[in-house]
Amino acid sequence: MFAFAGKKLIQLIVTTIGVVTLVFFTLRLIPGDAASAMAGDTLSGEALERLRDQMGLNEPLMSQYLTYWRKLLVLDFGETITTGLSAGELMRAAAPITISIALATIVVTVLLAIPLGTLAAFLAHKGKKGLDSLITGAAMVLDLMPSFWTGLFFLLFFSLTLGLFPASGTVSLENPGHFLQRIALPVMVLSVTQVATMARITRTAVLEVLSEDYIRTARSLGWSELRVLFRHALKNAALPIVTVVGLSFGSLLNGTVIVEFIFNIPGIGSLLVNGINSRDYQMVQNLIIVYALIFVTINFVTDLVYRKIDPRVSF
Amino acid sequence: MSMTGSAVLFSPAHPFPRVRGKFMQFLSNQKTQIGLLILVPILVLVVLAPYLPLQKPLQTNLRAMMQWPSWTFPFGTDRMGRDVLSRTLEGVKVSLLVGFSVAFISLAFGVVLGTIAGFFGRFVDRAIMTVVDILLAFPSLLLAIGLVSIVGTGIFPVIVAIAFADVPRFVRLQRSLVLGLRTRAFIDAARTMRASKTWLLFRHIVPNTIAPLLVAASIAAANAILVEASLSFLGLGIMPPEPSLGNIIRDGQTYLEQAWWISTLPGAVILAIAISLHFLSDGIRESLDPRART
Amino acid sequence: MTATRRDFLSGVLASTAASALSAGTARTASAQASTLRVRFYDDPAGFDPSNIFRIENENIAFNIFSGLTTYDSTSGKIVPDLAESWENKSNKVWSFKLRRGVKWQKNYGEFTSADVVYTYNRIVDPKTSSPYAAEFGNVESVEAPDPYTVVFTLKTPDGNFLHQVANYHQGQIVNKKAIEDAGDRVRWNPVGTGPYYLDFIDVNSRIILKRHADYFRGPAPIETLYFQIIKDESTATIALRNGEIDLIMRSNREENLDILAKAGFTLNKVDNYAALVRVVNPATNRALADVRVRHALAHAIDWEAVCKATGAQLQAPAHSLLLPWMDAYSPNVPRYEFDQARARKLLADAGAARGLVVRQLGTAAQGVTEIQQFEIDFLSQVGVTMRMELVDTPTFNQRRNRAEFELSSRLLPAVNPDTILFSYLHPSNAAPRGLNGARYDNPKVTSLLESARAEVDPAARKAMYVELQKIALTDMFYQPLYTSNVVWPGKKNVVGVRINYLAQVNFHEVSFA
Repeated sequence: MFAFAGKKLIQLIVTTIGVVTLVFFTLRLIPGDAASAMAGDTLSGEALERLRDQMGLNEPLMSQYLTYWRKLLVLDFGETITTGLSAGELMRAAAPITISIALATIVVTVLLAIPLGTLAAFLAHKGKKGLDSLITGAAMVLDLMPSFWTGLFFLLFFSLTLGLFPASGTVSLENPGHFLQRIALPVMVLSVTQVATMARITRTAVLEVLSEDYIRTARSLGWSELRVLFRHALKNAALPIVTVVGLSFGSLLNGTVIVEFIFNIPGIGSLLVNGINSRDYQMVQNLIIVYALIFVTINFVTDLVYRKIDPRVSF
Repeated sequence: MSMTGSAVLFSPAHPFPRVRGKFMQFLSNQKTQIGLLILVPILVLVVLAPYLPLQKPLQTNLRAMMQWPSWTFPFGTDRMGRDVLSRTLEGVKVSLLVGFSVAFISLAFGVVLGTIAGFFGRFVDRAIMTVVDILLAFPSLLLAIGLVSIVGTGIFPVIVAIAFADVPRFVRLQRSLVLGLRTRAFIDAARTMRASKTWLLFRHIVPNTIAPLLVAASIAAANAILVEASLSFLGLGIMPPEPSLGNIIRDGQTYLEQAWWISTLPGAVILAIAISLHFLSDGIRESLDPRART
Repeated sequence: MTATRRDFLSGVLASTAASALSAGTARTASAQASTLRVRFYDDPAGFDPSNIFRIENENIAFNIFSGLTTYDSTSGKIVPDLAESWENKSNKVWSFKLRRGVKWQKNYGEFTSADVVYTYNRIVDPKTSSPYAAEFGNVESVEAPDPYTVVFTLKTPDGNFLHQVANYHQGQIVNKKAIEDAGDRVRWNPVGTGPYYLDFIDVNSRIILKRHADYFRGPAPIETLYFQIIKDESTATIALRNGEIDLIMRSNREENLDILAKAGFTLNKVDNYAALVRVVNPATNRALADVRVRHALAHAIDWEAVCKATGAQLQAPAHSLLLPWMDAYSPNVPRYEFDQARARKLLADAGAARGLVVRQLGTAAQGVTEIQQFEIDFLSQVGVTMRMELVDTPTFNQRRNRAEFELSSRLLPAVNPDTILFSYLHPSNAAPRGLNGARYDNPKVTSLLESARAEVDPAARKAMYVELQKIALTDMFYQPLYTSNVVWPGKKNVVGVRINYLAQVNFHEVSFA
């Protein structure tokens, strides 16, 4: 296990270095550097040159790269263009919001998808094709609905028509009640897609297990259907489900960008879209790296959990 | 999205049989037929659009603003009096172009790089897979967003950006398929008969990877269509007035109460296309891999 | 979690971190009558007058700072602010008598003439690198003979100088000690003499202003202004309808205004806040050098219909570079009514009857706006193909500043008519030095501009402005397209929201009915 974890950790570090390098150099390809973006149409040539000096953009590329690393290692992400505030602090304030949304979505998803998927598998196994295809069909449709599209309807319906959730307002962990109200809609929208995916995987996994010999044996021993289903089938189907929870994290992060945009949530997705709109490449660079790190770390954890469940696994 | 999920479901240990001769089986598959039933009419409409009595997609009409769906404007009109159906069809064209281009590019690069990595192994493999791992460290939409912020907006940049995020997934899939096939008994047999490496590769390995790749490609196409729509919705993809399903929905978003049709109908069309592609991918899988019918 | 939060806050606003934290939690709850909740539509970018930009930030600064003069919210006329009175000798030496007993916010003591001198020297100091330094380029010296008198000596006479010291950008008076205390966080620690002071800010979500109890015109009726950042227009509309906020700072979608008007909200509005102008650059497209072609472009588009279609409440056709409420405005200028037959004839006469292609520069970020789509349609009806050249924003700014375009557009919000006319029409501002992107250089106009600025007699000055507007609008290198209106929808019980011609609201005048 330790050797495995060590190997994975080295891989994680190599990937991280690669990610930072790739992002750094790619962003230097942009026409019009960060200084001219910052200057907008108000600064003239001379002032622009001074700004470039200040931002270190006149240094050789390699030394800019090394400086970037030096700062990154002490978690200095520089300042944002429009606000001049520390990018690190902004991200530290925004990240918990995005992560809360992602985690809440996972919880909701697991609670809904596993029973649904198991039910579908059970129905399929019992030959109740109609109900099963209804659930699978619905799952497919929900899975493929563009989340920005569903988001719009949710906003209109739940916020305006029903008045259940506020459309605006501070999103801050200092006020948990209001916080939950504000993230409820984004979590619902994201869950729609996630539940669909996971229910499908659960169904497939459980269905496969249901046709195994030992289940037949268990049944022939006269155990109740529910016991067979939940004690044995589901337990043995856990492996693919865990993997999917880990793997779906990527699409979950994708989704947070969209829902934060629609529901006006100041998470890191909003920072990213703002960064792009204000041509704040420094910020975009930081955020893409942060997203990658979150994602890579989650994958790392998934690998470990997977290995723990099934020691045969080798990557 | 579902891309990663489906890739996992392929177990390289059980490769698919050859594609040849399977086409009829594919066509007669029930899921294929459902998929085609949705996709073909949309395709026909898109192709026929210029000949239909529709207002041009960019044509504004000050006398027909925000009109309900009618015979003249089956999907209604938007605030500028533009025909939503004709814009939607133009958007579908863009979507399909993006979807298929991304699928094709990912497939092409994926097959070449994945085969090299899987078949030649060692240093080449490690080099390719390191890059792949780095690229896989970015959630796909986010990688696309980052790239679009560099390469700019428009159809071509969007295709490049989405494909860039998909290629590593295909490389990984192809590599695992090749790795699985390499050790298969029939290959060992072929090898003992002193078959050349190239012959092995093109006769036995690559053909056996086509089916799962096609399945993944059709899902990648659906995925790319959704990603393009999301990008355009965020204002980072295809810019107005060039219609794209994403930016039509974005434009109509503020009128949801007064003119629901502007956002709702193009959204339904995206959904229909994505569903049809998934049915087609199921169709491919079921007709080429008898085991897959669950 | 709390620790992180606190770190962040202290980073944002070092001096008030502790009080801010309690303020933040206490206030999210619900609406007290003494809190006005206002939608703020973008990320705040700081409130240092020397480098402030974008109207929403200026709106905050407008309520924190004061100038020597300010604008009357309704008439747009210059009125006293920190200066009680002023006099001038031949538009060259301006002296201001200051109010006594004006208190700085946050216990920074009493306001005196030294603050004025400090402020204006700071603006022109190259170290500040203020984009507004040029506004004081004409100032020879600023002196303070006593604590309540300030004297400006100008290099050349300027009859419009009172605009330069108004409560806007460079005109806003800052406190030396406060600036020094703020260190490199000046823009997040504004200290002024205005009706509200900055109490708390979280750049991701909200800005809280509190009433300045010692404000020289007396304390404002509303105690707390809670600016909530809501970028999306639809969300802002829903938030107002749900009662989550009281007032929307700028709503710019017609359909939302319709919904809100129907639902019984007040649409506070200022008309003709600024004119969008098409800049025609003859250097890059020879056809545009022909005055008939430029007139044809103006005749070809039905601006009345376009404005109505895209937002009848938000814009109206423009016929002048100046706005009707400006004292220098004149309605007696050539007008270009919608007349496509005439446009076609003009083009034919100019030998461009067929296949004239013009390129309009734009940003990829904005794309082709709805209005531009109409323009393209109308122009195509008279045989002119307008192609959009969409480039990324930095390139756009660069090319627009260097006059590397055939057609582009500009919106220059200003109260001082001289600012608008000088920027566009004077050759000293020719690109790349200034905003004269057409590189317009008409000696007659140049001399009129210079003598109007120096003229002491208001009537004579007005006559010169009228004359030069006539010439400029005959030459039509700067084509007025449409003026935009600013609308702040709000609840019925929020009264006194008077938007001035810089699109700002003086919250000292706002109260609950």
